[in-house]
Amino acid sequence: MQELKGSLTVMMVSPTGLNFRTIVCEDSSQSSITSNVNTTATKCGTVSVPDTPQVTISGSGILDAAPAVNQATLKELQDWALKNTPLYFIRKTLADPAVGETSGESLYLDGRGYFTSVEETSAEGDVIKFTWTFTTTGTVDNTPDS
Amino acid sequence: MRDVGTAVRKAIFTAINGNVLWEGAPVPVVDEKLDRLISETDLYILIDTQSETQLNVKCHYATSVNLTLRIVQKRQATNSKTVVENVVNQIMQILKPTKIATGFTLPDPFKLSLFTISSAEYQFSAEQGGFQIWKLISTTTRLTHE
Repeated sequence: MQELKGSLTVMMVSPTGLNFRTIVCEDSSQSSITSNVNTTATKCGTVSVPDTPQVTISGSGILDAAPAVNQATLKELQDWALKNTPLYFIRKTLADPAVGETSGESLYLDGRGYFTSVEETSAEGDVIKFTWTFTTTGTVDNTPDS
Repeated sequence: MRDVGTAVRKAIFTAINGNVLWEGAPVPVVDEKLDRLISETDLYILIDTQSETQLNVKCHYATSVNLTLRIVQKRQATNSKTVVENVVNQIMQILKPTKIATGFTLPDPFKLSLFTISSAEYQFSAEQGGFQIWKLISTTTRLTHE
C-alpha cells in the first residue's frame, strides 16, 4: 500500500495545447466520470446500457495576485468562461521520487473542454476565493503520452 | 517551509514599540525578552498568546497567525477602563490605520495577505494592593511564503 499526497495533483489548461498553465492557487479539486444508464426490463432480465461517459473536473482555490507565466488564476478562468473558450486540459499527479511515482503514473486525464462555472467569493476578513467547474467534450484519455 | 512566528510577532512589536504614549512617555511593550520588571510600571503592553494554523493550498505555504495583545494597568484604588482604552485605541490606529491599510510589513520571504483585529475583551482581577485591569485584543495575520 502506497498512498499519494493530494497536493501532487494539478489541473493544467491551455487554449492551444501548448504551454499548459496550472490553476493557482488551488486548495482542492476533484474529477468525476459519470455515465447515464439506459435500463430496460425484459422477460430475460434487466438490460442496462451506459452511454458515453461524461468527465467533469472541479476545484476551489484562492486568487493569486502575482501568478507566474505558467500559472492561471481567477482572471484567466473568468475570461475563458465568458468567451466559452475551448481548452485543452491535463489533470495529473506530479512526480514524487520519494515514493517512486512518475508524473501521471497514478492519475492522468487529458482532453478538451470548457470552464462552465467560475464562482468568486470576496468576504470581509478573508482573501478572495473562487471555485470552478470544467466540463469536458469529446474523448478523454487517461494514459500519458509516452 | 519556514516558521512564521518571529516574523509576525517582531513586525507587530516593532510597529507599536515606542509609538504608544501615555502622559508623554512610551508605554513599555514586553515580549518573552523581558527587559524590565513589569511591576515597575503600572501600564504596559504584553505580547500574549500566539497560535499558528497552516492553511491548505497547493502552490505555496499559507499560515494564519492569531496573536493576542494584553494591555495591562495596575491601579491602587479606583477601577477604570479609560487608560487601557486609550492605549488600545492607539494600538488599533497604528496596526490598522484605515480599512485597507495595515501598519506593519513582514520581512522577505513572507507576504502579508490580510490583517484583522477580530475581537477585544476586558478582564480584571483584585490583587494585593489594588486592582489589575487589562484588555485583550485578538489579531489575525494571514501570510504566505514559497
